[in-house]
Amino acid sequence: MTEPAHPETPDPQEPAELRLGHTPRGTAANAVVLALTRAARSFLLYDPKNEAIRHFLDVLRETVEGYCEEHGDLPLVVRPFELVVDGEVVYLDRDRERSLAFRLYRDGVRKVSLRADVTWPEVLKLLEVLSVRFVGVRQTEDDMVVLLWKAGFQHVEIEAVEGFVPDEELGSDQLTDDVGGAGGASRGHQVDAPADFDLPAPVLRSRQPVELRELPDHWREGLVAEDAVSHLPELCQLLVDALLRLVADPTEALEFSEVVPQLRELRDFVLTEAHLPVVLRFAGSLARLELPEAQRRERDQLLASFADRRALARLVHGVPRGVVEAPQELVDLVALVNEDHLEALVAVLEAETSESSRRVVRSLVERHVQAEGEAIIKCIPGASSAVACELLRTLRYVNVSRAVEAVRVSAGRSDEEFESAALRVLEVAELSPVVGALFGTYVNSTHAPIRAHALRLVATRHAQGAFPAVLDRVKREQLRLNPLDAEAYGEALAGADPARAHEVFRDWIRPKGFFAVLGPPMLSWVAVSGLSVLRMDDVEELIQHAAKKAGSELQRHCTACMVRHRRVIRGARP
Amino acid sequence: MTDPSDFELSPDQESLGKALDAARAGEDKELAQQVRDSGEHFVRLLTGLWRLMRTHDPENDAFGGPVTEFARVVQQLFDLLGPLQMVCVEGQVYVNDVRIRTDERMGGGADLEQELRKHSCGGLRFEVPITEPHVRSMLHVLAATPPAEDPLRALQQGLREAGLESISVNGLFRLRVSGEDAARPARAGSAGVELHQTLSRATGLVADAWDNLAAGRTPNPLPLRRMVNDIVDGAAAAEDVLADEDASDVELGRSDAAYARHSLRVCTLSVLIGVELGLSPPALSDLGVAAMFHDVGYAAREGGFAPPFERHGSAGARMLLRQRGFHAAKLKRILATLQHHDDAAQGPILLARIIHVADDFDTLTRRRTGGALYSPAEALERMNAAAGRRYDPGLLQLLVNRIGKYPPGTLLRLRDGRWVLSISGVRSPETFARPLCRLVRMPDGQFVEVGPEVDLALGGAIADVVPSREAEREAWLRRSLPPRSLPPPPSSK
Repeated sequence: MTEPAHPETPDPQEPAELRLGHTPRGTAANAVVLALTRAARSFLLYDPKNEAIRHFLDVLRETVEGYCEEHGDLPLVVRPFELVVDGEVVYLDRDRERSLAFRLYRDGVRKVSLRADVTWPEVLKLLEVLSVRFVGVRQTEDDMVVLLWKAGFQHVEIEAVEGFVPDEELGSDQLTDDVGGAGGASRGHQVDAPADFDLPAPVLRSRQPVELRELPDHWREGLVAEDAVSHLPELCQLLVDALLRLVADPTEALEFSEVVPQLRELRDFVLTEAHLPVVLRFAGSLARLELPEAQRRERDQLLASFADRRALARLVHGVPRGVVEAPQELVDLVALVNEDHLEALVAVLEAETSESSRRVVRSLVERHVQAEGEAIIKCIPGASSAVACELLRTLRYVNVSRAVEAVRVSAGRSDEEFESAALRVLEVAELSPVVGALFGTYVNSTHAPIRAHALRLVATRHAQGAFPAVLDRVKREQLRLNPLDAEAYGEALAGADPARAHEVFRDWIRPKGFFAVLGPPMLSWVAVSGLSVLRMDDVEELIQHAAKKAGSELQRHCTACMVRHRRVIRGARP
Repeated sequence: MTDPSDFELSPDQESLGKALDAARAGEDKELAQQVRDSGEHFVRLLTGLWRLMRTHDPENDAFGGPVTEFARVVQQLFDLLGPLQMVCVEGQVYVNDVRIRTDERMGGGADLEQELRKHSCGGLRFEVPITEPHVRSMLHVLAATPPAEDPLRALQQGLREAGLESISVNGLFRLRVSGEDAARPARAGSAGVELHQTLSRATGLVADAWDNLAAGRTPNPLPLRRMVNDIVDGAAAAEDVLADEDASDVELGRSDAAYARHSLRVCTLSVLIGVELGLSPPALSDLGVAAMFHDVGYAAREGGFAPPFERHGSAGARMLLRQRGFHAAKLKRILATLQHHDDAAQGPILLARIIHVADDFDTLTRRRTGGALYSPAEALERMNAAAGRRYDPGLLQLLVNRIGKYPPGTLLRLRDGRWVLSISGVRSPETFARPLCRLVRMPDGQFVEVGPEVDLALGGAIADVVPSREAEREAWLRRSLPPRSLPPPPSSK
């Protein structure tokens, strides 16, 4: 999860930006440029996923739309530290690291004109190019001018330095014959291609006269589409197959170690795209590659990275929203990579905030729970509340007895969320001394709602094993009990072990000893409550006895309990 | 604040995030940093040494440390980039097209530019690393007062006399801003001239790229990409260049750089096909760069020898793999290098299929000892017979539609006895088999040095296509003999 941000609050480290423009148009242009700068620079501070970025984008969109509606075109002339609109300085920042103008100028951009009909995707594309430079990325393949050229803007005009040429006006080209022109004209090159390079020429024995023939548009469109970005994952797979074929070919000089960096790049790309079929095929090709022993380790490491924490996070995030089951390719991928994935899956659960993605991870855990049940149980004590609950829920769906075991080993956890999840496990678990004892654990929870829930379960599930813990708790807490707690304890004791409870209640109402008349008031309250749900002969007599000796509040409670008891006797719900 | 679990990414954020990821993936941070750091050091040292020369003789001990350091940095940059081309222009310094950060306390790039300008010099090129004694010699020459007349030539001469033939000098440069050509008044034939200049520079860049790859350096596609973008922008005139092989020969001045010319022609033809197909400019740019690199495998050495035909694709891919950072263009380039001889039926990628058509057309028609295998017109017909099996039929048809029945460079005999050279592609459906030509021989056999244009759309009947060997003989005679001494051409069939 990225750090939350408060984009309204200026960063104290950042000097204030100059508000410039002495005309309405200049002021509006200043607002656009500042919005653009802030948005581009924001990627230095925030992850693109951060909410702050969305805010910056919203502001940028509003200011650009507002400007264009009001003032039309925005022709920004770029000077080393300034941006100028029709002679009016609308941006000035002399700080080389911060200045949008300086970065543009240094990269060769001399004018950026946004036409009034500029579209939001174009503004976004412009921002994308600027952001790439602001975060300091320098690609081997493209510089800023190339990126702007490639953007193919329809409503943004860029005037940029595209290179340098001999200055004809200064007469400097007269020596180019002697010393070569600009841009590295060839002199004294070292490499000679063989004289017969690219031979033998293709053998084309027959001839077919050529004629002009128009080709249908749909055919062109089909071919152009082959080169579309959407086909890149398939191209990645083609390259992977080609490279691995070369590695496996003994006549080729290419070594596996030479292709590993490229394979890593391709892996990262297909993972970023979360293109599952290609990821699976890629990993499959790698798994099938036969290599000498010495190189297998490198191959296996690479293979493992297809289902590590980072990879799983990306793939899970790429599953369309609303899909709650892991796609089959993902399941197969995890199975193909012979690693213990649980730690990675737990880590993904820890980091993932989308409920949809969490469900997908859970479904993966479910699939591996039988094989990795022990590992999951070991993970739970140390996991965060949310993840421990996820894992526990998953175990409960798949194997309740393992879930009970997980609750047992995690009994030391005292977070309310986990305790609640644990009770949900115990709710469906088969009763056993262990389960009973665990109920007892949660009866002693520090969280009142958990205690109440545990007591209800002890009562309804007749958890005999919990009886000692409940009784112990009542005795310890008797001075702090309120009437509602007392009722819950009474019913829990009665539900857990009716015979023993009857004995205990009787002792509390008719304590042994010459001078004893009635036990401590809250214990009597517990006893009367518990007696009301018991089907024993002397229940009414005990309640009446308690009422006689009690104060007015307990008397009223005794009356209510008597009524309740009679309903119980009749078979009605208490 | 929004609950993180409720916060879903907006599509805009998603696309920006992806773009940044892609950009970061395409970066070779280490290499970029090394070039920038060493380049900055190089410029700072050269500027500092120049300043020192104002007060000290280059043999002074004060030069010892900086001179050693300068020689070391040149070696370091050479190891990374190969021959070094430093250019100072408008206060900025570029080393092999990479703009170098300059130290403002030392006047940035402006000081260095100012010093060089005294010699009317805009840049220096180091073909090989420089030794310490040579650094001192160079400083002596640079410190000399330039003559009023032709200072640049004097500087080059001074370097030669000091035994520094490996350092060459460039004239002054200016920045070329996009769109400036359109703003200038058009000169007759200026498009062709500029395209020729672009192409001649490109052959040099291709040769540089091959040298660097052969020396085990990392591929640097950026200079070639800039050049290809120029070719894409000037694609309308590209077919003119195909008509005139001599241009690139003359500029190159070397017979052994045939591979560079081939790469360039394949690039030009590929871009022409791409334009006909309707590829976007960025896609054309990727295609052009891939075409420039398609045969680079021949620069590799296996035990000291160039790889055989069967393995030049994989050898090229092996070299291109050295470039770090994911980029779609690189991916396609490597695949195209591997697949550019695959038959269409084998399913190579689009770029490889385009380059295959362009590559074979040039291989069949390019001049070689004993003449081209076929004339351009015949090569097209033979390739056409193999369409569908060997070549993608649609892509081949696009080339046919663009360069016509008698492609640029085809030598034609007319019925009236004149010889003409086709210099245009298809200008309209009606001119598919009636190109614009240039007269090269009169009916009486007399050679015409700069012949007038002959538009076959307006008249003139073609007798036949001059076979490739005969056309080669004609070209050789035109290059070697004075016009008056040319023998009569063989009579038409």
